[in-house]
Amino acid sequence: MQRKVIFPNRWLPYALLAPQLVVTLIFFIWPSLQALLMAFQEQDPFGLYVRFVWFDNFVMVLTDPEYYNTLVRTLVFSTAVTLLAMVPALLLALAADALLRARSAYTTALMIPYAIAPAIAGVLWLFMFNPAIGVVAYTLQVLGLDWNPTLDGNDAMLLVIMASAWKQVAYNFLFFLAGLQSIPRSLLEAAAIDGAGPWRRFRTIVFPLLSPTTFFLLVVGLVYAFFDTFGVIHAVTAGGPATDTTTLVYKVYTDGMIALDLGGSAAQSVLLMLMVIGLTMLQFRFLERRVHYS
Amino acid sequence: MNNSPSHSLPGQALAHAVIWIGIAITALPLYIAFVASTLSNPDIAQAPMPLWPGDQGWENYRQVIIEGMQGGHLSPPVWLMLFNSLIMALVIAVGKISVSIISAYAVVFFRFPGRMFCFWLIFITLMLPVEVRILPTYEVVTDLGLLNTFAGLTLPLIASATATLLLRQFFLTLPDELVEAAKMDGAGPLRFFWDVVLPLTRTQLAALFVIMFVYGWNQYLWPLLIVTDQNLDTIVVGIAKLIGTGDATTDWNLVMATTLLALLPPALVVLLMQKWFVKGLVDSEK
Amino acid sequence: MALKKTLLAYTLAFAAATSAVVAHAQAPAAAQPRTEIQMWMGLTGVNGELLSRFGEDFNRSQNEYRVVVSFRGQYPEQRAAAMAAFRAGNPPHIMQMFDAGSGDMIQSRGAIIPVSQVFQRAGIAFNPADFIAPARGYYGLPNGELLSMPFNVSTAVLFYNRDAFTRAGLDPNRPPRTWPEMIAAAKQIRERNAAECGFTTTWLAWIMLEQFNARHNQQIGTLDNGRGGAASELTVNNALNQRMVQTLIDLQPTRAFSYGGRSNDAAAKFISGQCAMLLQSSGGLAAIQRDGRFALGTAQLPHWPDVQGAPFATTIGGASLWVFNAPNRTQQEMRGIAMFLDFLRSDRVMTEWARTTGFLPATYSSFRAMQQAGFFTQNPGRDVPILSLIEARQGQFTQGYRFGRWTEIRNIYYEEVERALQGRQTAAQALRNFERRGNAQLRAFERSVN
Repeated sequence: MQRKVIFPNRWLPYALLAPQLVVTLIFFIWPSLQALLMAFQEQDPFGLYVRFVWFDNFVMVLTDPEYYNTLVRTLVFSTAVTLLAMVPALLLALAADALLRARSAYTTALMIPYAIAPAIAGVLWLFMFNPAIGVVAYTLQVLGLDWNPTLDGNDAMLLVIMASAWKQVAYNFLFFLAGLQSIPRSLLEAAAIDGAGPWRRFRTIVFPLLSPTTFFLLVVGLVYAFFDTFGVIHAVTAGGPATDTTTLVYKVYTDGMIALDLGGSAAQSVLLMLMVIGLTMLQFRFLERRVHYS
Repeated sequence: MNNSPSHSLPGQALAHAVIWIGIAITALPLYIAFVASTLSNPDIAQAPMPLWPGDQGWENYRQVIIEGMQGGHLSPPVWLMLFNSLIMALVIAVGKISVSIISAYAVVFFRFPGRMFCFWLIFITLMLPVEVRILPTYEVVTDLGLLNTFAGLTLPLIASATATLLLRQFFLTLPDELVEAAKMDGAGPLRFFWDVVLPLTRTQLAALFVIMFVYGWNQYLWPLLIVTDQNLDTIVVGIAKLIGTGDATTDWNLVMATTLLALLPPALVVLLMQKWFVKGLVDSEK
Repeated sequence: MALKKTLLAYTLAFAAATSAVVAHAQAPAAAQPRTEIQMWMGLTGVNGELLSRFGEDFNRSQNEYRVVVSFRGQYPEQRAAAMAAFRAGNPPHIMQMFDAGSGDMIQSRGAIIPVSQVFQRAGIAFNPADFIAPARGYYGLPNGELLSMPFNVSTAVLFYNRDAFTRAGLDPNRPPRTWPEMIAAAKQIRERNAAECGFTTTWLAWIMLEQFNARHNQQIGTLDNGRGGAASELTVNNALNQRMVQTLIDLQPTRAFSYGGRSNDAAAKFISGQCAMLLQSSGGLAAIQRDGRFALGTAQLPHWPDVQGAPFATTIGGASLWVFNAPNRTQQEMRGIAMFLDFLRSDRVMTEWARTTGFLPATYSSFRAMQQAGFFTQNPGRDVPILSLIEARQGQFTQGYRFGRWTEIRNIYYEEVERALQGRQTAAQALRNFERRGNAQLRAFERSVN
């Protein structure tokens, strides 16, 4: 994507990009290359015995049937989290945008959950849903529903999906609201005068103008679902019961930090990275065309 | 403005209702935390926890605020941790936004060799989670002598792909007429940025500031790794130290009370940023 | 307007950052420069407070060294931090590592210096026999040398709800000693509905795999439970272990047994009164005493009476203190490390540690000191765990184990047994899968350290 009208300067853009690029190169690219290099090595936890093993780690990962189960599980999880986080957020943003009064108070109330540290959020979800002491769990049991995320894989998956989406709703809400408020009122008023109902206005004006934001949130949301949900899963189910809530990123963590299988973990990270890059590029390629930029 | 159906009474009522349902769901965990902060620990442990606030509230908050965290050997005073968190959050938020906005500007408003390559290079930072690269990043920071320093705490976190992406999206929506008008006025790219683009980006910047501030505020893994001097602890690390490991006891009521207190600064930021959420653009600007 | 705000924010941030940096730089400069000793620990809360305070006590007692005790996250995060620091050439002087991580520490030859050698080089007297036998076995070499210093030690016990026992018509002064008695009690509790569930367990792998096999003096792996080297293999797929797992599966439908999750989660079921009995670490006592609302009883872990010689001693859990090997360590630093470790194992510190935290006295002398001070008579039940370690019969396989990647292998145990409890596989299949996957981990570890 490129604008049609631009500035002609030659070196200024490089100067503008420099700070971010410098930090990125030193603190991200360089360490990442080293981390990725670990995918081709076999070593002990302390780096005392390092051996180059070509693609052995990759072969081990790709020939493990459990890896494919994890992959499918991750796709299901990520789709559910992304959808569950975007749709309610849009609804809430539309409602907040339409408010004449008290918008600040409501927005603040909806945003505060986002400010809770992930570790604490996990604890709160346990407080609500833990079969032993959880308030919501108790209510569910009283209602006759057999809620047991410690042994029922589906319950556990539902729990981590909810907990992961919850945080993201606030995030999406904020950006949707910002996007909605950038839409010129004059356009909407003109359409209303022309007799377009709210749904028609939404479909023809609001949604297209909101599409840059939606695209952004979709890309970021997918990345979030794939990567940043690690903290929540760790706090709430630790990947269990059995392997029912172990996603690809969680497996990267357990293999790396728990099993201290640095090579295998790095290999999985490479694969995961390629997957997400691939998905993102697909999004840029096919979805971005339908985004209205002006 | 006054004829819009959404401004009618049923429209407003619907909007309020939707929001209240949203608040009930998203704020439920917070309410639970609040109730827990007003109970005694045995009450919390007896299933199910009561849904109504208890009577220990004053005592618990007093203990947290005045007596500080436990014995004072494991963590510095609460106010110092809150201060550290505030600095960290501010520096990271301002740093990330500054660095990203000029990058996004460069990528959108200029054409130069390596343009998309630079964008993807920045963007790719999203694709490798921090847990994976934490060991080598620690080595780099050590080699640069930045361990246990404020720079080591903040610099590695300053690059932001999210902010760059969002701002790039926004900059792509700005009408060409704006740029042409500026050029005709003889304004260079920097003037254009400062006088025209920046004010227009208000809403996005407000949203980003909230997100980045919270991101900085909630940093846990990286400070834990980099900092050995207790006096640089952030409040989130302090809360983590309150939670007993293994089978050890945890004063959940105090943990919840501290958590809620720690939410106040970010909440304040959200509230303050509301002013920048200007409803729509003034017609003359478009 | 927007610009002004941005500028204001910048100025604020800059001013604040500057003042923070200045404040930090002005940290009190010692009158006489002390050598700094870094100790990393994984404890929080009351336990972390006390260990930090011990560091401060040590600093006050002498002028040469300054010990800095810092929390670096839970054990896995802390371990990652230590690994990163080691690779960067700057590991902490002392690190607290949990039991399951010992194998990883030891097999990476060259990463650590055995604690016995640390004392020897510093010229400070050190007698490993001071430490209780199970701890010595766990962290020691056949020649008696200790690799790491046991510090916070725990073992597994059976907690039970006396009130629920009374309700069920069981004698609260006669807790079950064997598994058949345990099963019968659980069933009776359920039949009389004295509680919603008979018993539950925390730390499934630690208790049902490690403690269980120690209690019956059964081998977990070849090469003397892994002590002979990284080439060991797991040997747990046998009739006894199958019987134990099958028992858990069979007792589920009537809720005579109810699974409560990995690690410490199940304790909540006992504390809230849902389950009448709890297999738990001795360290869980404080939480139960504070939050439980019933009369509590403590007993040793049950055993199967048909296993010859049972019951044997249980093994230890908790953590020990390791000394890292770094190229730039000075003689003076090494001496400081030895002095601080010596301080920590003194009777005064050990007894205060055991009394306050609920961990067990790790040395015989501190145990006797507590006995003489009347601690155990004043606190009935507090001696159950330590006695189950030192008074019960010692055997070849009550000395713990030493496997690499054990934390992950414990995870595999959770996964496989949970799958069996879900009804997706039998006990025999669970143990077979566990052995297979666990051995794959051991082989990978073996390759990595050779």
